[in-house]
Amino acid sequence: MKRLWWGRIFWLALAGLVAVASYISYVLFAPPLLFQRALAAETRDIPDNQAFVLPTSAQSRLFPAYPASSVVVLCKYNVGDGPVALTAHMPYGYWTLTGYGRDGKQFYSLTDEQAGSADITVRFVPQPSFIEQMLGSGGDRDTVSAAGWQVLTPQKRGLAVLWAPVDDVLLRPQAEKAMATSRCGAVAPN
Amino acid sequence: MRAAAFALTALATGLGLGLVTASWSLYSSGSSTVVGNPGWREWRLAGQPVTASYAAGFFLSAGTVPPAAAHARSFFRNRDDDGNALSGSCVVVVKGEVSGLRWWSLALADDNGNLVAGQPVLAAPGAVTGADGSLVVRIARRAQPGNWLRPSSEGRYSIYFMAGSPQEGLPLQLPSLKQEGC
Repeated sequence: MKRLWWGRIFWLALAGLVAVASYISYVLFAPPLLFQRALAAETRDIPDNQAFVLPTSAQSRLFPAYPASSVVVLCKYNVGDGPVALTAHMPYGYWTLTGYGRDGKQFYSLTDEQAGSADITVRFVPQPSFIEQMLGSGGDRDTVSAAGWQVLTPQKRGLAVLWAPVDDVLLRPQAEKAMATSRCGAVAPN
Repeated sequence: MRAAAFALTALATGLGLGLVTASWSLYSSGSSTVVGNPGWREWRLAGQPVTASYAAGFFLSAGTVPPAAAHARSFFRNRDDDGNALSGSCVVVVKGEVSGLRWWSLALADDNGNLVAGQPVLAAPGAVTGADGSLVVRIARRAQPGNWLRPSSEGRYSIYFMAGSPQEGLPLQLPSLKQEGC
């Protein structure tokens, strides 16, 4: 009788352990993986470090709360080989720039009011490693660029999102044309 | 043989339980009620790191980019002010004040708050507002005068409200929802 009870407790404990393990695995790993899969499906042919206007169909899948009239420019940055500069040309009015890590977590945000200009350049720079911080090295990462905004990225790859709402869907081509001149690319070494 | 059956049952039960609770906790742990705005829940994307992770996880697991928390607050609800579930078979009137916001959007989502591509979205500055910044939106399957959002089916849905760059110091008053008939 006692053995039977211990047997039941063992199987219950096993089920509990599996539940905890699957809970933690799902919460930690499933969201970034599902997001990366969705992003890859929409931007498969776009290389890293290149700014591009997101088609409205892809925009409605990745940003379903934004109306179709708004314009989204994406840059899949990769700072593995050095800093990446994003030069944004935005229409007049409200716009935002948001930086996401590869796991989809936000680490940077900027609005038109904060930028004070519709044309800005933001440099994405890899965050110095723990050893680099201890040694005080990190090259030009340690100096704030005088030419624009500089952002430390928590991960080497990620996503920069430029977004602007447009008054009317008829005005979208005009805003799209302006934002399509935005550039994203590796910063040439000095 | 019996032990193998027990092992399989324990594994399947544990796995199912873990996945269901994980999915549910992304929804519930990432959002909380909004003080002064009963019925509404807010995605705490800019809150405590753990809460923000759950909130971001909710959007990421749907394959969508989480809203930029630094300049937009995101809210949702699936019941009207009287506690009725929002249903496509009824006319629901959304009334609010948006003059304190630089930008906003109102979108329809499924009953669990998941935003789906192709769902109707109404946003500033495309919507008609009163001179005082008041906003009235009717949600119904049949055409309505003024601002109108059409649910994709007669089933249940929730509404998602994004408040972009709210003016500092102003208390945020979220829209009210009233059923006008079914």
